[in-house]
Amino acid sequence: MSGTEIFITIIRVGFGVFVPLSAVAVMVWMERRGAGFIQDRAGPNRCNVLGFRFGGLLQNIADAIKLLFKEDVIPGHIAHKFYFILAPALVFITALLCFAVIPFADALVLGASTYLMQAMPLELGILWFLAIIGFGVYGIILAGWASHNKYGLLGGLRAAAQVISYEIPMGLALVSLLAVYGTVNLTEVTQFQGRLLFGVIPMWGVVLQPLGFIIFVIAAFAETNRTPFDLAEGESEIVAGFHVEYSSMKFALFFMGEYIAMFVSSALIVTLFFGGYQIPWLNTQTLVAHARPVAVALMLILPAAAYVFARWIGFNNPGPAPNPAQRVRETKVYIAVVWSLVALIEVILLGYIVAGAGGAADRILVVWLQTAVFLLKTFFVCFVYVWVRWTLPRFRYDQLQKLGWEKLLPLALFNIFITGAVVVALG
Amino acid sequence: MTTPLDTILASVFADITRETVLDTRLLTVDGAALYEVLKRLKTYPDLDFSLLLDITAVDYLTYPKRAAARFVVVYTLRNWKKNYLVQVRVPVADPDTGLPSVADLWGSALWAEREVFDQYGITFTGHPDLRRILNHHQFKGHPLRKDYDIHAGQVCTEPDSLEPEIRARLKVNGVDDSTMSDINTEIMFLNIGPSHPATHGAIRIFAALDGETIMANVNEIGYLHRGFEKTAEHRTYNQIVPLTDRLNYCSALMNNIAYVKAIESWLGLAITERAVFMRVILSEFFRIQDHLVCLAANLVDMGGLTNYWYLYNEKEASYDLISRLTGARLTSSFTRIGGMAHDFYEGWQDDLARQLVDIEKGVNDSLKLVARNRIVHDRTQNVCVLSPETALSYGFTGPNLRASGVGFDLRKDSPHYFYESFDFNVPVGTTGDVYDRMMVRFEEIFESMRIIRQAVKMIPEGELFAADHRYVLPEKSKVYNSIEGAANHFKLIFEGVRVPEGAWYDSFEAANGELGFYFVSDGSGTPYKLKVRPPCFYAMGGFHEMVEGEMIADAIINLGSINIIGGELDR
Amino acid sequence: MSAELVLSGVLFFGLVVLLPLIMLATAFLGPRAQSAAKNEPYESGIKPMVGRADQKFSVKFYLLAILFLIFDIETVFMLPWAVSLRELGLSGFIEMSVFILLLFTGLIYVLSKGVLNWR
Repeated sequence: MSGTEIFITIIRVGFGVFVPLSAVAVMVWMERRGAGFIQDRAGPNRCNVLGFRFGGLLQNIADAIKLLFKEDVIPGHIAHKFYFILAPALVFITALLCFAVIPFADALVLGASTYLMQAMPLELGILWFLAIIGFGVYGIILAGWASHNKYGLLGGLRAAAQVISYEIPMGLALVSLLAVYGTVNLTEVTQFQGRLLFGVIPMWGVVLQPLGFIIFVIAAFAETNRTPFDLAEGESEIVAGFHVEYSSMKFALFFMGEYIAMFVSSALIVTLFFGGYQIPWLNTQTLVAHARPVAVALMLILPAAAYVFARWIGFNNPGPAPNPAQRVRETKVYIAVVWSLVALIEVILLGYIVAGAGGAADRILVVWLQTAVFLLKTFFVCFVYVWVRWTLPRFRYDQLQKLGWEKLLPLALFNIFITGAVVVALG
Repeated sequence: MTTPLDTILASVFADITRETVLDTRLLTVDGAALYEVLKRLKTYPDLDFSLLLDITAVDYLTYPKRAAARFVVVYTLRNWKKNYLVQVRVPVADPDTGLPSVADLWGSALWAEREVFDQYGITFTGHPDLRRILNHHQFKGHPLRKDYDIHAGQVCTEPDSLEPEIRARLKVNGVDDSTMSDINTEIMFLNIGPSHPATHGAIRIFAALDGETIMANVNEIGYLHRGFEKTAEHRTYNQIVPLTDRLNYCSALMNNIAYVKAIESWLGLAITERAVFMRVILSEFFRIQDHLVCLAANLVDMGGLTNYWYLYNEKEASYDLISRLTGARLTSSFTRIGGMAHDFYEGWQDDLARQLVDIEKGVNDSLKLVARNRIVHDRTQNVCVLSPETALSYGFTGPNLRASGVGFDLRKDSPHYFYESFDFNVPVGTTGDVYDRMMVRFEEIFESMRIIRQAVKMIPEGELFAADHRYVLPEKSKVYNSIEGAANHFKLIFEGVRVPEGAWYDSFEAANGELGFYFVSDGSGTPYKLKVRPPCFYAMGGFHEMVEGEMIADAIINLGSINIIGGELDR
Repeated sequence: MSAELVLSGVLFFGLVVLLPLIMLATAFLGPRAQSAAKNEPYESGIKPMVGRADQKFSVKFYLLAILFLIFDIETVFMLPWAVSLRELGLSGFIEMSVFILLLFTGLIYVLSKGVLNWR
């Protein structure tokens, strides 16, 4: 293996592991501040280091540290300690493994070799995802059973029944998608979506498979145990369900596992239905061919965005309490940091335009750009998760099953039939 | 004055002693005739006393003019259609043999008789499940007996397993172990509460589950029992006002009003018009608060946290107004016998009007999330249906009863405080499901606003206190400058308001239903006996009828929808 | 299998398994204190006195699992069909339509039997 290969492999794996992990912090922040925004309140905004609050992000760090130093209780009534400890690790691991096959940028062509931009260069794509996500339910069942607690058992059973019920509509929605895309490889799926329908509309999955999209999104919400399908935890009913006996980092693993699963399924929704890393009307070839104008455009857009951000934060961050001077100073520092970051990127881009344009540099620029677009889209879908959570109440258990089996399943079968007919008719 | 009721009673119960106390007709019967009398009161078409409001007992051990029997049990019944109120007094010869149970006539007798048994040790023969209810099962003695040593200090350690009770309940519902072993499975016995996010206090809902379905349910209450009624026997009448705050603490001021109204009606004390309007405005304002809390909590139980903030933010803002007025956020203690603690502050109209607009906005915001939400509809409609018959039998009152289609509201049916002159509607449900109970409360919020807005326009200036200084403290200037004033002040503070001898019942439409007070006075400044008729005690008594056959999640939202308030439930 | 894949796999799996292990090891950071109440299962603040937590659970959950097994295998059959639908053409489509019809009939049967009626 060449040095480049090893380097790229390490970068990819690093991305695949640490981006979902860091996304947990961002998403918890988004959840809390999003809840605050929707519910007419501020959300956590007091945690600070030397007066710097980072919009409440520090609260998550504080919480993580708190959880680290909490007592890790394994109650005496638990007979199967090994399974009790294994369960949270299993939930966490399976959530993270799912991300392995999701491409965050188009395949990078360097010289003769092509590098798939996903944590593991597997071509299994969707099959890998289906296999692993089915495995994730083991962690939950195990947690519920090993807790030796009635709430835990009920939560575990609810979760298991729910996840397996929605795996079928999800799988069937995928079947119709695969019929359209003709491949399971997610990089190829995304490349497919770079094309244009009638020369104008991007051929995104959501355009080609609207019904499949609805089914898939509902199933994805159910698979991640999120409101309105959060029955497995059902705070007000079965008091956290399967993780009722867990504390400290073991609880945190469940918690992080849930958010990672949410991030991964957002990423998958983006990849399957919203063109993944593709920028509408600018597919990879176009971008590579016009790398220099794109770089110039970026150099113009970035300062504009930074200006808007600086105006916004300059207006919003200085507040009355508890120390106005502190807030003003904080705001100034934020603005300075943002502008220096922009300046740094501008310098790099300038250097690229002057010296490095053409060949490998073009392709690497495109990879960066596409990764950014991919993350942006993914976080937007994550926000939809948050939005839904703070809007809808939860289903009852039998209604959830009925929705899955009586509505989504026949709809998904119908969708396969229609899709098959269209695909065959169009050849 | 002879009313149609008197005529009917005279014809049906010709040989029974009848009296009239306030608007109550009092029948005195003996234990042998009791069951027949009550049965006739319920079933005789012209009488139709479908609501058994309350059962309590009086221990006349230390009563100055003691009759022959030490214990007298008092049944309070109501015909809601014609607003007839009847009390039946039964002397109990021997508490161990006791009285026949009427649990087969009214469901509400199930818990009411248990309470009398618990507090007074009077047995009810034929009661299916006679055991303690408010006190712990290891508790010894009967605390409301006059010879109970209040300094005894008992320590109770073991929780009640409730296993025999739930097995009995399973049998009633036709499930036994063989049913389950046929399909090779087991019943899960699950405690929901006492310490559970959805119990809003401390109630223990013990359920036998098949999967998610509740096959049998038994409930244990009393976790917040603090002996309100016993304490009240050692306080002067005005000193009890702060205790009433702790009954339904979500609408503390309504309890204050209900309490002093009961005493004033016995005294025949007419309060000033300004005080009446203040009481109307404040009780409707607190009705809104109570419904806001109930709905917010109910929607949280359903998983919709955002509704909670839309409703609760307004409740918090209302507390600012309330604390400006009363000095306290929750426990207002704002009434006195004969008037109110003090008058409104300057500019209260603006504050109140603004607050009402804000509440309207919050409620409408919340309704936008709920009213057309399919998930909410599916969760609440035809869930935990309470038929009007069951509701009446178990003594449901207030919004819970109205949701079942029974349009009984004391404000309309037994007008007091000029309620007949306000233009407002009483929202009534159709099915009696969780949805109806929620929507009746939403509507009542708007109706209460209408009443407040009318009352604010009509409230007259003037004195706040009635001028009768036998009951009402004189002004400070009189206390300092006149012998008479000083004497009045001294006597009222040291002896309390001396209430003429007698026993009476008076009720008030509180946020949760009919809040009644039954007093026995021996003519001194402290009540000889005080019994509260808490609306949610009887609502909880019928809880199992609503949830059996439904699912866990339904039971949770049902508990929220009948608005159980621990302080009032357990007293 | 390419060296690239092996390296990725080892690195990825290594990290993914190592991270939770490290996090679980932080159990030694916290304080330790035993008490009787901590050693009891949580059941809403009361000692669980009736029934066990490791009991046989309701048969309805089991029915669902069986149902899942059947339909999930059908889904697996469809995946390769979907990918190669363009090659299979009309005959493939008709075959799958028959299969879907059978599946749908099965679903109708199961639902009419009331498997999902919990109340």
